[in-house]
Amino acid sequence: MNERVSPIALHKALERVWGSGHGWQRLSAVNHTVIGRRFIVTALLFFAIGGVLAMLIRAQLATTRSAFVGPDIYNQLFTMHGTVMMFLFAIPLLEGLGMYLLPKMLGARDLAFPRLSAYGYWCYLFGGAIIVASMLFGVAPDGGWFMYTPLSSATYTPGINADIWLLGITFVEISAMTAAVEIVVSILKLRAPGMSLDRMPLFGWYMLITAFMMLVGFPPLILGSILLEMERAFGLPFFDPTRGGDPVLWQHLFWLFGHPEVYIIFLPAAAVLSTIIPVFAQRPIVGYRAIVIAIVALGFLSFGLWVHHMFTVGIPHLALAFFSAASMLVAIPTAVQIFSWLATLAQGRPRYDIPMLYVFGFFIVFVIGGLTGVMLAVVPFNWQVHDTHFVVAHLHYVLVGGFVFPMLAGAYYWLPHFTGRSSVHRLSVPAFWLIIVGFNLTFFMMHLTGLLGMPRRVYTYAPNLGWEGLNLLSSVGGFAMAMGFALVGADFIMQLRFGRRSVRNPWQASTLEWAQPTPPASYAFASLPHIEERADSIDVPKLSPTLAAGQGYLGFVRDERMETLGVDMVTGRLEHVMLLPRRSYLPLISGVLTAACVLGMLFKIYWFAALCALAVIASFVAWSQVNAITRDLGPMEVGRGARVPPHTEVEGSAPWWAAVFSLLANATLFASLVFGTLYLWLVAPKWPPAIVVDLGLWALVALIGYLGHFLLVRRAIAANAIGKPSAALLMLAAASVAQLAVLWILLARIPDAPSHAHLATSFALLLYAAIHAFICLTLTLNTLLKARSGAISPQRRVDLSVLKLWFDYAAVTGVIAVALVMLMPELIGMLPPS
Amino acid sequence: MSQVPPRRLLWLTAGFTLWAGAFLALYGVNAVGCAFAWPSALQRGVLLTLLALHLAALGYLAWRCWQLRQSHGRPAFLEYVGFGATISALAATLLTFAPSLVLSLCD
Repeated sequence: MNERVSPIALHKALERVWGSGHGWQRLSAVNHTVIGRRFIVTALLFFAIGGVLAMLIRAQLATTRSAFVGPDIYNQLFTMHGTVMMFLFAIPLLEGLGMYLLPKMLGARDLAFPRLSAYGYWCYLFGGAIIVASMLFGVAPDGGWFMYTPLSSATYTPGINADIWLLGITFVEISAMTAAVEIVVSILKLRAPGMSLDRMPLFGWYMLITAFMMLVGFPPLILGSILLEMERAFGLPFFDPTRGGDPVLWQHLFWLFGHPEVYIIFLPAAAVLSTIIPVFAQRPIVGYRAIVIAIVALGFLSFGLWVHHMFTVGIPHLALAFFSAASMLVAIPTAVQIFSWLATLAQGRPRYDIPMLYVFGFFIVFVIGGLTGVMLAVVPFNWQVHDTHFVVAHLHYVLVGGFVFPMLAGAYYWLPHFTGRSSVHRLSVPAFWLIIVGFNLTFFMMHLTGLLGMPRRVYTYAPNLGWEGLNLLSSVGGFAMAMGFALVGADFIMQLRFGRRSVRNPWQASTLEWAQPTPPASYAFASLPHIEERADSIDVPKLSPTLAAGQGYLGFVRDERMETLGVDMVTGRLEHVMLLPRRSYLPLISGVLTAACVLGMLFKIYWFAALCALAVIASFVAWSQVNAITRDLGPMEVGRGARVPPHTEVEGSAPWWAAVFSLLANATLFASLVFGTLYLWLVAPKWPPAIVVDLGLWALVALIGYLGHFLLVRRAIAANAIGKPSAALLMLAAASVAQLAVLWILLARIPDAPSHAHLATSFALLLYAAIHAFICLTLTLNTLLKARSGAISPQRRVDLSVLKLWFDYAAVTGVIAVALVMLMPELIGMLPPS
Repeated sequence: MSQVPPRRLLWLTAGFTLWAGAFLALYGVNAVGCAFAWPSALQRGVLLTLLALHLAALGYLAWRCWQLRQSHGRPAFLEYVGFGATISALAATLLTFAPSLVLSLCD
């Protein structure tokens, strides 16, 4: 291991282990470069589809009383345009960019859970395919991209359209959740040794906060979708005001996700800007610390704005004032970043190139979008322009300015990294001008049509309202912009096909992703660097050859294993070796099974869906069983004279943190369910219900059962410490089965859940507890299998630590769920007479 | 950064977590107070007490951060940004919930 080998020999050895194979083997790829690239390319294909839909919308609105499409098709067009752009383009693109770049920028060989990224990609691809395929059959979702009830309820949308949205988007969101866990854990644990948090490039900070926001922001939407699908499929009335539900609850759950979503999209774009601008300004970023504070502030404040989408639904003025104030405040941390970028340009020696064109485009478009955002934060103005084209103009200025322009800057910046070729650039400049002129022509006009009173989502409009000329200009602008995007696509293909071989690090950047060959090798770095300065000020020409020569950490292949390094999350001190799983078809198999489960639910073949769900769980157990380490490895040499243990033999390694962050997302979903329960009790019409839930003494049995879980899981850990965990794990499994049975009995005690929201929310709370008892049972059996195969020992105890986390979480949420259902009759008794 | 314990990462988020807590508490009390038709003085009193408690907690947190910053020569990165985030959260709490002082409660 200490013998020096030539860089070529090292490359061949690493490629043998890390490569993704050829032909059909590519389907088993789990490598971050491959998966990141797949996310990006697929997102761009969906962008093209969303763009065509936008053109159809503009064709329809170009003239008054157009006969191009009717209202049914038009409803599908605008719903699918929003849905595709938000869920199938923007979010997956940022995930793909993060997956592709983060290990390379942070000095790691891969992400923490490569198979999870691959599974996420298949969920995204299959879910997106289901949603888009629905258009071909004329049954695409048609209730608007935010699917407001009661329009999207079974009464008013009886077909399959809304089910496709609810199930398809939830399916796609699996990829968002897996990506968020992947990104948070990878940033915190898998950096190059020496890269303390204050040495991390801002790109890492931005993606870290974004991923945290995804963990907390997506669960309310996932819960809302599940509840609405339960209402549509089984008649549980969460949003039906005639049975104690409330359509406004859907709006709360949707916008609890929907507004942070804007910042989830903006922050990665800002990450791109904070990376590119210093390179072209030829000086480090101004205000690194101020930007970190601003990102944290944005991450929180963006969760206090959601009601500004609901200013007209009749919420008390004082509450509106809170949301209005937060909506205005959020402009401050955004401005901190904008002034930091401007100051960096002002204090540097800016040089021009294509990425900078898009940076300037961003400044102009995004600032206008931000200012109209502040206007919309003012409640009386908001009332005036609610649901008009002014809002459409604002959201496009923010999202295109705040996401598409920076991403195009990033695309031109990193394309030489992706392809190893330099840009041709003949098409780039006219493409930019077509896009920026076309964009402003399209959307600036919408401010005016909006102020003139033109509502959004109408398929036609009468003449003589003063809207015709402006709409025609909008449509002309839209087609000019589309031509610009087509030119960008052609430009990319030209570069890929005809571009000259690029020199390494063509922009003279100082971040680690350029200290590796381009296009990147599967293993990213031949050896890993030790970071002694801020990682956006690296001397790339000096570092690259030493890494290629294997003079950093892990400049070798050991036992045909894929290895990268784990560090202390704050100080970047070298902590352990992370042993990664090899390429595998399992993520694809799990993805196909999940797709089958979704299709089963979509076509209401529930026995088939349940069977597929069990098969998905079995495939996850298989993930855990293969690649398990069955002996203690002890401290391992990692190069540069250091020896550290593998991740399986330390506390607080990546799998444990992944469980913690998954449970954080899960807790948000549970908190949203509790919020929904109490919201309906407090606000919804048709309360109190005619009958209330009486769980009887079985509720106490369930509470005692949770105490048993709490004790038994600790006993299993103690038993593992002396090398004999099997008997304790068996007892834990038996306790889980008993708890599941008790919760089943409690569920059966809820009478006629479709009759009232009180009964439906009680059912949902107990179902949540029962599902978690089942998860605990599955995890226990999986751990038991691993204990039998020797994959667990007193040193290798990470599975048991994760098991304890899940049991404790299930106990806490289970106690809250059962106690709340027990208390609901008392709370109902307190309600004032309606 | 070796002198900074890992838990100090939480200081970066503690201030805005309190802001979020204030948001939940005040929004919740406003909703409950209006649904149960609490007298205005009672609801405003509860709202302002909650706001004062959160501001006091944020003030204490900011003071602790300041002390940590002063405890050795040059403040470590997390101490610097932790203090900045806490002060920002204090200002945000004051501005977001100041309407509790004057606006009508349930209209």
